Amino acid sequence: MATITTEKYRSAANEGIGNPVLQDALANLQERLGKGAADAYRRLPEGPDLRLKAHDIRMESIEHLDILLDRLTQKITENGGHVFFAPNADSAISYLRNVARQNNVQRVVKGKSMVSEEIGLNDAFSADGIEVVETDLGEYIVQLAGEHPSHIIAPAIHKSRADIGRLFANTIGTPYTDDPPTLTHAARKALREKFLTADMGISGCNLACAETGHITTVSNEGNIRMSSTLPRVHVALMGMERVIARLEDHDVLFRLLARGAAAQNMATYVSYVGGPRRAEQPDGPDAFHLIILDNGRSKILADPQYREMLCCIRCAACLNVCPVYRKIGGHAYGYPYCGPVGAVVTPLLVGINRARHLCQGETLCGACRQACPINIDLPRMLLRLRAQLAEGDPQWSVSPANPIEKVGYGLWSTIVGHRRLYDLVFRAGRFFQKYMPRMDDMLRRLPPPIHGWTANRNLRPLAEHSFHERWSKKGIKHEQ
Amino acid sequence: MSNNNQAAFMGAVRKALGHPAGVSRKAPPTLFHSHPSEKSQRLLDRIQNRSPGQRQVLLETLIDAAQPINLNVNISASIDEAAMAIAATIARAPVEWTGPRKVCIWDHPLIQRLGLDSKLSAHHIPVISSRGFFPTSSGQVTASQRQHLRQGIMESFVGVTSADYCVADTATLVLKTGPGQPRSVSLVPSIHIAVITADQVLADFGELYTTLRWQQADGEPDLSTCMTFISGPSKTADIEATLVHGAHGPKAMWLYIINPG
Repeated sequence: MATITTEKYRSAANEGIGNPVLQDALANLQERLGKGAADAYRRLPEGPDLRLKAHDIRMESIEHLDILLDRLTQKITENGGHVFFAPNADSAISYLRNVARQNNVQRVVKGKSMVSEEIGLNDAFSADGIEVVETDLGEYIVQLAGEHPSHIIAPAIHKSRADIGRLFANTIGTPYTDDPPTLTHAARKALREKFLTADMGISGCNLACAETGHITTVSNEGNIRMSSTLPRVHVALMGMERVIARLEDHDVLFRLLARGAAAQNMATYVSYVGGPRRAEQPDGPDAFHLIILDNGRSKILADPQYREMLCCIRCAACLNVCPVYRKIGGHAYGYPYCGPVGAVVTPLLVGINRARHLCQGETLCGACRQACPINIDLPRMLLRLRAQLAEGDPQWSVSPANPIEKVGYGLWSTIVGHRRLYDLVFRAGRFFQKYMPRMDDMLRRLPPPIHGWTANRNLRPLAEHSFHERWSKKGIKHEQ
Repeated sequence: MSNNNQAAFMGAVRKALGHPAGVSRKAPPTLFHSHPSEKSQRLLDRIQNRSPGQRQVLLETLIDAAQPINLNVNISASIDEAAMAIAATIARAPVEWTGPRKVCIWDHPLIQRLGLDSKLSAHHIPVISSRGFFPTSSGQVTASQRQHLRQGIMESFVGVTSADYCVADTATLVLKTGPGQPRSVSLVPSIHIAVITADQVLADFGELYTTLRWQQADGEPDLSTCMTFISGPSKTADIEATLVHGAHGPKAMWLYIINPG
């Protein structure tokens, strides 16, 4: 399993906010990609409404998931590939270990795979003495630094070019430079050596096509093509929801994916892989394994209100517009999936109470839904998570996150429902606020248990007379 | 490797969807199509009946789309003209890694007709063809043949391939692997040169997917075990969002289109 640090959301978020390099990088990223994706949707001949079509395609796939996975498996098996169904992370890891042992694997090159992060693959292989090399440039940088990615498609967004120059000087012996082309070339050289000598390549899977029996991988760098072409064995990891029925529907999804993820019209490389090298083919891996992972997804599938989340194709478009992600960065989310997608999917995968800060930290501004190439209603699911946390929900084993808050809001609901009580409470408030510390005529600190309201800001005091009172004084009668 | 998990796994999926866990469901007729839809048929007709004038427009679209992704496009009136231009491009190109300059090429009718072997011998650049590695009588490529080919591709600074299709809208080449058409020729060398004829150019991805899906006579699509879409040279922006070409794949890419007009 991946390390889960969702409990440290608050402190990690504060760290992110206090990091000027990260603040600049995220602002820059959102200006470029967030706005770029919106422009790219508008340039589509079908316009941004194409996203609704994509939503239909994905929902149809999810509703027929069993049929599609059966067809995919049958086709890949016919073409000489192996398909393994992993109910959880441990099962996926133990299958991977077996494949590695049987093929005498010493070195693994890995293309970006969120599922591999989710199952904690690198740690497991390292424990077996197998070298796992991340090959996406951003992931490689993060791996050399001993850190975790902070963005789904721009993993090293939190590092400056000078950080990377120093890192390369200390780890792979590149003479210090902060020139991105020189640094990229240094990584190209170091990783080329790894590609050519690796025994196993591991990739993720962007989509799978049930009709033809292929998985697809998308990259701009070419690292996934290298990982899936040069080593003897190729293992692809796939969340079970990633399959779609028909080849022709890839048109809509890939055009939207490229726009949502990177404001591109098309990624540099898209590969359809349907099995190992055939006997008459001159290159490609001798063995192909596809691992299809559940790991909590069937529970999401079983809940009609969360099922929509399985339409997600992990493009990171929502990260590029989220005002919360922009300030706190990806590490605060404490799990491989960050940003708005992480705020919904992480609680559902690791436990709603455990990851409660993630959904409570979002603003519900709705930008993520606008940016999503599949038009997934993330704000609706964030609200549902919050409602479960407020009320508790035995079906998801959620206990009320804050019973005192629940009592408080119950009380408030009674107060606002009764005019006289309401007036009385505010009269009392006006009396007591005279004794509160002030600054520039603003309340600087409220007493417990409501002191949180003034932790980061001053509050305007209650007016001497309520609007209602002033209205009545003017001799205009209040309508009941 | 056998898979005892599949039944239990599928059972859990069916149960989550509200269906009996133990009963395989049949695909509803709407899920997989056995005939092209009206829209697909329209696209197939459009591709079939494209006029030379319309083809010219596609080439212009392609050139426009290629420019921002740094894909160099060259349109030649004949194979000979293309061959001369390709030989000149290769002769000018710098070597990235150490060692003598070598070029690897696909074993493909169009590439053979370029006669790169003789044109490059003037520049003392040997050409490694996947032809030497064509299946033996048994139809298999032996391990030593493959090792030899891999070494040759690794040592090449230019790889020359053809492609199955090219999508004008995004300047995307579509390459299926097969005998004599190694995947790594378009990937491992520092420079990738692709050669196609103008009739292989399609307008957009709608046309491409429709062709891939319905073109086979038996109605079964054949994508091969590895079909790759390539839109320009390899790139990354992982260091402070600065665009750099040649992250892992080719640093530069040329597309030669033969258009007799």
